[in-house]
Amino acid sequence: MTDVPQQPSATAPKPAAPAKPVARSLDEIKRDPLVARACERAGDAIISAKEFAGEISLTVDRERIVEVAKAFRDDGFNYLVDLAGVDYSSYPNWTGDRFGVSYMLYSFSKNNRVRLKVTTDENTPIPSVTSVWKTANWHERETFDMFGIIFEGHPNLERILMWDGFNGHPLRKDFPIRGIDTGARIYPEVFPEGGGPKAGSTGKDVKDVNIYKGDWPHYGTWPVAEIAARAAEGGMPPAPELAGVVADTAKPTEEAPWHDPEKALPERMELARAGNLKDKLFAAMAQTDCTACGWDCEGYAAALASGETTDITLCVPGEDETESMLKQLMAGKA
Amino acid sequence: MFDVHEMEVNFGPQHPSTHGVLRVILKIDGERIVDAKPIIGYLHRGTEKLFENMSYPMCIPHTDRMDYVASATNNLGFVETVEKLMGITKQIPKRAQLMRVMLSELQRLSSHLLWLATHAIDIGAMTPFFYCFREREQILDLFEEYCGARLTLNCMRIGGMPEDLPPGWLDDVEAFVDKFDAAIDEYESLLTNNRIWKKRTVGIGVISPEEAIDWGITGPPLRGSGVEWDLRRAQPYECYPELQFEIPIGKNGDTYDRYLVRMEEMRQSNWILKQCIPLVKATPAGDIKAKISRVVRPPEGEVYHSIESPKGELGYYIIADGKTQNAYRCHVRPPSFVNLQALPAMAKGHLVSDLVALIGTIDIVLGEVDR
Repeated sequence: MTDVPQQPSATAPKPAAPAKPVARSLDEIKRDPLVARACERAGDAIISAKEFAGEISLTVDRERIVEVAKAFRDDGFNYLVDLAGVDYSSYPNWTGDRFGVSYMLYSFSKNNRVRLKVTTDENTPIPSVTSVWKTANWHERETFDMFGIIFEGHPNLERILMWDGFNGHPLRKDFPIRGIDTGARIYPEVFPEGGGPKAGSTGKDVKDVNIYKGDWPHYGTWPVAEIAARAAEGGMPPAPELAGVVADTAKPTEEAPWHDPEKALPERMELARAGNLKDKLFAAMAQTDCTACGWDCEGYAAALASGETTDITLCVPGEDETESMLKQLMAGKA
Repeated sequence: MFDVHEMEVNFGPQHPSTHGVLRVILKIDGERIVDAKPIIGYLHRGTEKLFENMSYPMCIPHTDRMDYVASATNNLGFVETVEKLMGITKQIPKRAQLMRVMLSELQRLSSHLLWLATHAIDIGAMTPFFYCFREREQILDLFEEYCGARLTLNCMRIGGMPEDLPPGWLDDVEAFVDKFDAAIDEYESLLTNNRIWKKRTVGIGVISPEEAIDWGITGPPLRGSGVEWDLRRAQPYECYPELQFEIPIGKNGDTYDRYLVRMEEMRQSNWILKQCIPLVKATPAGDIKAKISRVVRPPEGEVYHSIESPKGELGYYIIADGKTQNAYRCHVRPPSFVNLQALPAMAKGHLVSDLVALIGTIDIVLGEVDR
């Protein structure tokens, strides 16, 4: 670093010049006192220039960005303010490369800003300017994360805002604003297989996973019949919140007189006293046929009895009462 | 003789002193930090993506949610950038400009008060917290009186202000600023010469001016390193050229100097507020909006504009395609994001307990870091 900044003159701040009615040509802009010295050194790498609202934007040859950046830094632009990617794929009448990267530079001695721009496509890397300004490190990582633009020579080009393994670049124009289903499951230890929120899910399944347990008048009633039908086809079981819903099938029958959600647990166990292990397990369930466990009540009991599953914690409406009874039954104590 | 080995420790993201959801992976040798790696993104909400999908006025409430302890300055940066894009910066009425300055200076005070309260409590000084929140509460009441909200103000519009000042508001501000200088003295009496405070802050996290610029550090941390640079003075916006204030700078670039800089900044902000009150009273009531079209559709072009937020340079980079009412691209340059990047460089060689002081002295807000 050669330029320790001096205090910018306190009395004469340079107001942004109004946009010129007649645009200056590339050569005229290159001769602008603001950028003239840097352009002497690396001017041939500058492809085009633009002025808007008193700001100068210089489009630079991608391969020579580091050389141009050094020329500007040595000419006083020692502060890289910002680095931003742009995806031009849906820009009206755009013919150039898909991506652009803008480097906002500031000079303390000149008290003014310049913008450098490079363009690239999906596969061509841009040389990293981390060797010129340390601050470019995180900016380039963010641009990589959001657009998938590769910066060659970056010491540590990994995702910064999204998590490792996220398969998309959110600020690309073809990335939907509702997000994408990345397949990654959030809280897999809490929600049953197939349930729970998904990273980047569309929001349509929110009703299934919401953790609100009471009545939900403003969302309408739970689609009980639909859920039961889906479960019968071996489809995705609903989330535990549906546990309070009593399915149509939950009625006492001759084979299973205990299959009545109104009855208390001791009463149900009494009714199943003469049955086999499966019947006792069945009676210990909450009898709602809510399918939160993935089966109806009888199916879960059968699965436990046959050893298909050993997890006794799946009955959500039964809560601790059912769980402790299942534990006793599975241990052969009751 | 001793078994020496390095250990990796997670600091955060649920640690109370990380001011949100910052996670730092520390490589430590005993108590000494060998390397630190900040992990961010836990609060990423895709604000920039949202900006591309809504009209410019609809973006303003979303800017509140970035630096949520200084929403007025976020609003200011955004509306000024759009105004610059539309070329109407000069048309903003004087009264609206003064109101914007007053709200953002009050916001600077409230942000610095929150910083001081939490910074002190992190280091172990409990008492300043109560003093700071006493005054911060009064500032939030002033915000509530103006716009109804205390935290997410949404208090500026493209081309002016949403409402005129409520009757009596200026008197309330006057009553507050008259007492506030004494309140700052009170905070300083608790900390500035406090032996423990000095032990914890002097010489901690020293950063030289050259290095600070190389890392892109702005705001009080840059001034604490001795660089007299403030966007309100260097590239003034609104009516700052007419207002008098000084830019406090530090000498050593350590945590203690950054503390002193922020304390002095509060005095200067208070002074600016005092100057604003008679100026606002001299402007005609109700003259708060420029005469612009109701539909905000800027011409094709791109601008970068930045303001001095309490944390540093807050910039917006907007590209408009000239066809729609949405920004084609809106990039935010958050000061916290850039300042946080220097944390590993500052933390190396210090103790783990100093890291807490360093996170406090950078004054990060994770809503802004992650956007």
